[in-house]
Amino acid sequence: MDRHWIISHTMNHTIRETFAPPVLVGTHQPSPILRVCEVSKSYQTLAGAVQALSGVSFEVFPGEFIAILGKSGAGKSTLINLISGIDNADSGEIIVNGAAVHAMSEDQRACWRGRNLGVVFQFFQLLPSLNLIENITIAMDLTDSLPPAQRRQRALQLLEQMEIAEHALKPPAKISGGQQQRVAIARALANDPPILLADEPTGNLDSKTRDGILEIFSALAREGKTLLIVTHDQEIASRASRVIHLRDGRIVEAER
Amino acid sequence: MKLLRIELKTRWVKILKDIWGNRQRSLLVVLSIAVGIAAVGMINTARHIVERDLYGQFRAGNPASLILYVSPFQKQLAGAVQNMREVETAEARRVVAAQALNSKGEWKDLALNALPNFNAPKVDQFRLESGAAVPAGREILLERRSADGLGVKAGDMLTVKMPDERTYRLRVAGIVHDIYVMPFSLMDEATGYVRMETLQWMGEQPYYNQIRLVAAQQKTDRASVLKTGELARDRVIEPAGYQVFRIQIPGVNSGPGQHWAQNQINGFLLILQVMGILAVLLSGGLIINTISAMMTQQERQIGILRAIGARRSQLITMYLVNVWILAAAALLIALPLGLLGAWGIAELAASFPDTGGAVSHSGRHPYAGGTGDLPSGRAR
Repeated sequence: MDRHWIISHTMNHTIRETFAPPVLVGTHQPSPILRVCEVSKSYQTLAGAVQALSGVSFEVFPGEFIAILGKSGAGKSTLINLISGIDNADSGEIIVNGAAVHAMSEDQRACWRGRNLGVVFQFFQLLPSLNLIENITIAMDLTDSLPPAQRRQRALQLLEQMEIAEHALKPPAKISGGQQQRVAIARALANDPPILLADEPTGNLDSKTRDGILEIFSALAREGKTLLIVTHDQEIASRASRVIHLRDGRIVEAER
Repeated sequence: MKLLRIELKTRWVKILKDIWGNRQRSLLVVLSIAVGIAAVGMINTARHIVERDLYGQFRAGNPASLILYVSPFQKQLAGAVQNMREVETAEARRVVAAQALNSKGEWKDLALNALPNFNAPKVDQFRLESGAAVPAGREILLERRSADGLGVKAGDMLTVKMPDERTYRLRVAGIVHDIYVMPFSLMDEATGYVRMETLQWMGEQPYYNQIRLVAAQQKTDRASVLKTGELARDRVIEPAGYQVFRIQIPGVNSGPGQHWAQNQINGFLLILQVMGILAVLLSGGLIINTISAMMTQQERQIGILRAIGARRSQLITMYLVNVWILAAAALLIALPLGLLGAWGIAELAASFPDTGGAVSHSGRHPYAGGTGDLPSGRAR
């Protein structure tokens, strides 16, 4: 299925350049928001070098909801880590929203990531000493993305969106896993990034809680966010606009 | 009220909450830092206090560079010595070995000092603690530790036995602090101060037997000071027909112009300084261990912060501020602790040579403008 998008670039209030929901207006070929080109990555282990990714290439267009499926050790998490700039590729190019992630220093990648990507982890990774609001405002604080006076309000809005505003002042340890994952998603959205990356976001949740999280992802996709989710979960794959299968560090199948 | 509300950035909120959330560990770090700071501060401040107050008081009382033991002379001889250009000040003194009866009925050695003028002392000045500053006839001033040792106080009567075994009753007119004499507890010899008229009443001839002089130059140079004494002997004293039995620099192995216990006090402070350095090393090790443990615990959180956009400089600043907050808290504990300890050590250092009270908590020198300033005495 060909999708032809014109991406409307807008200045999103005071934050930074971001993307408005994609608008289908004709037959123009859209620019990919993410381009992964011949990316390889290996790790040194005691048993020797392990090739986690071998010459992986694909493109993602704005507004797509991509599920990356594969067994354990297929290289899914490695791929997410390379796209997010948490790790660096041995070779190949990763262009995210026009930025050459592979060419950035570690510190540049961290700064860029904070402003341009939202990352959701399997184990939520909230800061235990902060309450829920603070877990969200710290993402804005570190990137200086909103005036300080507006950060708390923005965090509350996100918590309301995630339907956990009543727990705003609680520490993460006082809420359930599903609620923690909602906070993690809210934190990922704090700086209104155009792309959301998630690594097994439902892997640590029961089925009922998982459904709630999936509904949130679906809603975000409908709002125009580009989602790239690594998962084992076929339910996520069924909701995705495209599924990429990884096996032994290679893409073996891409389906729509 | 809204204006008064301080909006902290979330990163600082995290640091504060981390500190408060790990109170025991934070307290351990604070105490470790405090111990190091307090130890060094205590020793250095004690040294400063001792140098300022104890040695300051010692210098302010115009300590003799040299004592010349001379055959019986009249006070004009000291005036002639003072006229030498190598001599800044010279003063005659009579010291008589006597005995005093203490409150237990025991005889204790007593060095009776007679000064030419209690109203205008020149060398080895002492300080009034209680009673009268100037003794009248048949009255005695007692050095404070001597008074304690003998069990008498101002206003009491003291029985004194002269070398010819005759005894006299003297009224204790005042108690003084003489920083230049070794304490009664150390020497088992009391020190008293009387007028020459009183000595005459007690059967002694009115003469002096010591000249205490302050050299005009190089006051702390042993060779130079001794040379000055020899010049006084050769040019003035012996040509005038008097004999010099001994030329002595006051104190025990002290340099001229130095407190007689300065070496011992400095040794004591040096030992404390070494202990202070050891305390710093130990607390430093503890601090490094605790902060390492803290950072290890924070590793995962640092990873999370990196994942959501924290730059290296932000993380370094955050954790440096964390350490600074702990250090500031440690300072709050260490400063008063160090000061208290310093006063304690200074008092201890001063109590050994019986110079307690020389340490001034106000920083004001005991001699500065005091109305009770008195002439001196050094028992021999």
